[in-house]
Parts: sequence; structure tokens; C-alpha cells
Amino acid sequence: MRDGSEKFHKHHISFKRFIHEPIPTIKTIGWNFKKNRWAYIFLSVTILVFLLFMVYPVVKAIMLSFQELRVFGDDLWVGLDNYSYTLSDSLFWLSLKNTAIFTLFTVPLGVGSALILATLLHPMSEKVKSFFRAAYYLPGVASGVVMGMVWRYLFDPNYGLFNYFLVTLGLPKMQWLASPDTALGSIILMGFLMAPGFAVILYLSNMKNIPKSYYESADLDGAGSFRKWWNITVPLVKPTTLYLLVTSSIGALQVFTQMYVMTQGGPGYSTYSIVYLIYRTGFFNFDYGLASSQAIILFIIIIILSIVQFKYLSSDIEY
Amino acid sequence: MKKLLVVSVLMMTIVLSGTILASDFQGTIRLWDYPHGEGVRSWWDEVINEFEEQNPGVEIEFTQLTWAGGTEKINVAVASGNLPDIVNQGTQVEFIEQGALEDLSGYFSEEELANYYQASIDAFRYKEGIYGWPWYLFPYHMYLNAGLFEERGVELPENGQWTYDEFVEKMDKLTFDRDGDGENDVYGIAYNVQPDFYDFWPVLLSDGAKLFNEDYTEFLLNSPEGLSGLNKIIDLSNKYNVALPNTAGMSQDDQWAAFLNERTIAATATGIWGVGAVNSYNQDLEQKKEDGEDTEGDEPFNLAVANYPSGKEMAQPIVITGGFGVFKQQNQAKLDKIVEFLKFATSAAQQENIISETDWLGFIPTNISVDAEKYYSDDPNMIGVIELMDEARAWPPMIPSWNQIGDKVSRQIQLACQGQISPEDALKTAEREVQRILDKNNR
Repeated sequence: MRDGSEKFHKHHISFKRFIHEPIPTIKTIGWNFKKNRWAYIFLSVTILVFLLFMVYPVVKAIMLSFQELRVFGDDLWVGLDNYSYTLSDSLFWLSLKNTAIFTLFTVPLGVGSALILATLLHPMSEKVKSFFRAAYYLPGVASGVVMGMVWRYLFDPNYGLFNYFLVTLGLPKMQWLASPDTALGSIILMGFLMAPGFAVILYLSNMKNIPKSYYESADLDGAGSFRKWWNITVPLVKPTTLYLLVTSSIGALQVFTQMYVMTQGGPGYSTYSIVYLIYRTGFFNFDYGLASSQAIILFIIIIILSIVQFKYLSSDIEY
Repeated sequence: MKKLLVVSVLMMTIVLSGTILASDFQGTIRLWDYPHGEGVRSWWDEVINEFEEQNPGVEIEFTQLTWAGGTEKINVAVASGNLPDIVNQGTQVEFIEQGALEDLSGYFSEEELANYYQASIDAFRYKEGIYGWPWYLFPYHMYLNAGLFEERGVELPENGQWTYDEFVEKMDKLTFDRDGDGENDVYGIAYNVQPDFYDFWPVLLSDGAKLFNEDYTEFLLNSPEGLSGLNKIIDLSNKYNVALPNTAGMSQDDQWAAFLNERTIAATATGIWGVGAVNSYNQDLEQKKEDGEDTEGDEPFNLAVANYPSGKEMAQPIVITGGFGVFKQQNQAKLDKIVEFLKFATSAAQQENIISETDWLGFIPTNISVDAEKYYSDDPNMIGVIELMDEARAWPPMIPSWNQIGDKVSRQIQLACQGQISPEDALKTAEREVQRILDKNNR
């Protein structure tokens, strides 16, 4: 940091530190196990559940992606046919494009709005902060299906609240979800307007740890509110921003509930997302092998994106 | 000689015990059905109890699905191999192709087959077999707001039949500005072309277009007849301006609300449930009036039913047949008992019981011998629906990957109706995508 950080105690927050730890040997692993056996015993249940419900389905999906599933009789090994079909399917690329547009808009808008909300809340009293923390977090607790149904009524072209406001303001009604030109935008709007409660809570927690002396120094140097926010707050909450960008991107790339409840991927294919395509392929077209190949390709895309985000956005933070 | 006698007796014993075992199944039969009303649930309880009393040792385990998640439950059951024995709406061609469903054709006598509406048998016929047991019919027709017709001095179609030109002429008269603000706020028609909905496809096919060739290896909708049929739908919005704005993007719920609640459209097309919904609406209104509630502004809905407008050919309404698929059985005796149960539950007498004693609004039996018109004599709309059944076309087509094919075609039609692509491009794209699926199926 360029504002005299050498005056302060260095506290590294880095993902790179783990690389510098010594590689464990069989002997050390055995010793560690003996020393911490009760911890491992207690962890074993969680690990078992993780293996059974997370790892096994992924491994099974990978195997299924090379097969054609049959209810009766042996499954047929088809090699790379499913992948070949997926990559040559125009609907797959269209779904990917829709999902990418959704992600490119909702992730920065969501993370950005969370940062701004947290900045506005941070100076307030604990009581006020608690109230708003709960208020912003509540939508996240509600079922996605319920929220989708509520928003579907908000967007209703005849009875919806949004069109009621537009008409009241003398503006023409919009078709929102009924038009291919506005359907995806409507879903993006829904994603943006639903307050990112969890992100706000994380930011508030991070901001609490920023020493006040930084802001006092900035005050002495004559920095205004925006400069303090841009040059102190934003850089120092970067780890939280990185975490939120990665997790929000993973969530956005798997968007499904809104499409399922509100538009069924239409009108046309305007709101067809990748996961909706996987759902239709598997549960409507009964082609579980093809659906698995689509899911594995999405999995690879998410891994690559996460690696890129870590590589370019992670950095050491010094307080 | 003595040895031969002993062996013969032993063999006969084995054969006899096998026969007894084969004809005398005892155990549990798992039945899954969708909800059809509280009265039908009670009816199922009575039917099951009666059958169990007649067949000691046989237990019918009934599971009620939900309309929202039932399809997924069935699909997951199939994928996991944890199958029930009998499922309503469980006759997907994919299941047949994988050998998951029993061929029941051997259980129908010629006499029994003749007692069913042809469309109800065709709904389960695939290649040489019959893979379902018909129970009820779910036809689609045009539903008309007869009150609006009367208000505008427009005659209802005679005997429920009209040509496309006659239909357009009437819809034009029914499109008007009610509140005098210079803009139309009542429209002739709202049509549903959403994916998974085939309510308006009879118009698409009314000029003689075919979907497939006989062996389902070729998609044929991209033809002059198909283009003509598609243009008939598009023109309602773009040329004649008689369709509700952006109807092609609206959900069925929104269109039905515009038809029944807002009364801003004079005609729509939907399934037989529409008759039940209107009857239910009118009954509720009647009840509110009797209870002294404020019903100002609410008028009973005057419904009429008609066929789809004919093109170069007489329009064929589509009919979905509700029935039971039987998943593969390892035990012949159990299969025999299952069919015995299905014959019992779907007999003419039981179908009459459903009409007369339950709250299943709009139940149309598959048995021709059931005089449904007698039971619906005070409901001219149900009579009208039944009278139009003779021309009905079984739906959906029994072809593998129909869900996928129907989805692809529906979306192209929707885009064409919304002016996003030309009708020619819509049919070309549909042909390319569907042919890809057909080629994959026939690989």
C-alpha cells in the first residue's frame, strides 16, 4: 500500500502461503493421525457424507457422460459421441451465451451493490446494522421457487405491479417475460434487485476489521469520502470481493430456478440456460448420458473461470 | 412301469402347482396416479377396497402424484430402476423402446377394442403393440365467450364448425375498443404456442400438413401445407390484428385469466379442463350470491365450445388419452392380476360412477358404451365436446424423443409468431433440428 503502510504490523492474507509448507511424509501422516485420531473419527461422518453425496455423483456423472443409459439391459458405451453431439449442438451454444450474459450482468452488479450497501451501513449503529442485515438476508432464506413465483406475478403483463407503476407514470406496459427481447433482462433485473444479503454480511464483517487509523490518516491528508472508500476500503476488502466473485459466478453459471419457474427457457430460447438445458435433456428427453456430458462441460468451464479469477484477482493484503 | 407312474405324477404335480401359482398372485401392486379431485380419491379408495375384497392376498398400494412434480418422479423412478407397477401417463415411447413397458395388446379382445374410441387406442399403439390401458379422454377445442359474441351481434359457428375465413371475420368483429380511448382493449383470440403446449396445433395442421412420414424417419412440416398453416396463426396477430398483443409470449395462465376473469378475449383454445373451470367459476359466483356477498361487476360466464377453424381440410381437434402404463413384470401371474385390476377400475360401470358420483369436472370416458351424453345432458358444452370427439386426432405422436421434437418445433413457431424470424426460417430450422434428432434415433 502506498499510504505509509510500513508503519503498521504486517499481517499477510494470502492463498500462496500454503505452497511454502513442507510436504507431509507417510511417517508424519501416521503420527498426525495418531495424535489427532479423535478429530478424524468425528470428521469421518462428514467425509463419508461428502464422498457419498458429492464425490460419488460426480464420478458417476463422468462415467455416464460416455454412455447411453438403459433402464433394462446394459448401458451402452458410446465414447465421445455425447460430447461431440453437445459441442455441435447450436442450442448448447445458445444456452451458454444466455448463461454468460446472465453471469456478466448479475455478478458484478450483485457484488458491487453489496459493497455499496455495506459501505452505507458500516458507519451506522449496531441496532440499525442488525436490522438491515436481517432485512437483506431474508430473501436469501426464502425458497427460490417461491421467489420465482412472486416475481412472475410482479412481471405479469396484465396484473403485475411493475406494469401498474409504469401505467401510473403514463408509460406503456412492458411484456417483461412474454417477449424474447426483454425476458432475459427481466430475469437479470430480478437477480439484481434481490438484495445480496449474504454478501452484505461478509463485507460488513470485513470492513469491521479495517483499522480506523487508516481513515484517520486519510482525513489528515485531506482525502474525501470517495477517495477514502476507493483507496482504503475497496482494496482492503479485496479478499471478500474475490470470494464473492468466485462463488457468485459459480452460482450464476448454474442459474436454473428462475428459468424453470418463470419462463421454461422461453419465449423461444431467450432464457434457456445451461442447467435448464441439462434438466430438459435428462428429465424430459431421457438422455441422461447426453445430459451428463453437458454437465461435465459446464463443470470444466466453471473450474477454468475460477482458476482465472484466482490468478488475476488474488493478492496479498497488508494491514 | 412303477417308476414311470411316479415320475408322471410328480410332473403333473409340478405343472398343476405352477398353474395355480401362475393364476393366483398374492402380493402388492403399486399404483401411481395424478390428482383428479377429492371425489376421485374417495372413488379410488372404494375401487381398491372392492378389488382387494374380491382378491384376498392382493394389496393395491396407491400413491398420488402431483401435477407439478409427477413427471419428474416417474422419470427418476425409471432412471433408478425403482419402478411402480402401474402409472397414469407413464407411456413414454422412450420407456417402450427400452423394454420398460408391457405390451398389453394380448389382453384386448376384438370386442373390447371396438368398444374404445379409436383415438384412445391409437394413443398407446406403438409398432405392433398397445402399451397402455385407456381411461379418460382429454380433448382440446376452441372455447368461446358466448356473452361477448352476443354483445357484438356475432353468430356462434353453426354446429361448432367454421372455416378459417369465417373465423377471422368473426374475430375481427369481436376486436373492439370498449372504453372509448381509441385503442382496442378486447380482442378476438388469444392462442398458446408455448413449448410443451399444443393447444393451437390443429390450426397449424389444418391445411393438410403432416408431421412425419409413416416410419418416422422424416420430418415433413416444412412443406407448403405446413407454411400455410403456420401463416394462418401468424396472420391472426400481424395481418388481421385480431389476436391479443404478444399472445405468443404469454403463458396459458395469463391467457385464461384474460378469457375468464378479464373477459378481454372472445376465444381461446385449451383442454377440457376449461369447461370444468368455467362451471366451477359459475358455481362459486352462484354460491356467493346466495350467501349475500357483494358480486357487483361479476357476471356468470356464458361459454360455448367449437371446433378449430378448418383450412383446406376439416380441422381435427387433438385428444390426449389418459391411461395406465404397466411397467415390466417378472411374474406372469402378477401381470395377469394387474390387467384384471385395470379392467375392473376402467370398466364402463366404473367410468359411469366417476361421472355421476365424483367431482371430476370434464371426465370423458374412453368407453363408447358409456352414454356420457346422458350424464352431461344439462351441460351443452360437454355435449358439444363429446360430439366433436369423432374427428379427434390422437396426441402426442407416438415417436421416440417427441418431447424434444415438440419442444424444438414449438419454440420456432413461437419465434415466428413473435416476428423474431420468418415462418419459412422457422420451419427450416425446425426441420434441421428435428431431422438431427430423428437421425440420432434411427442410428
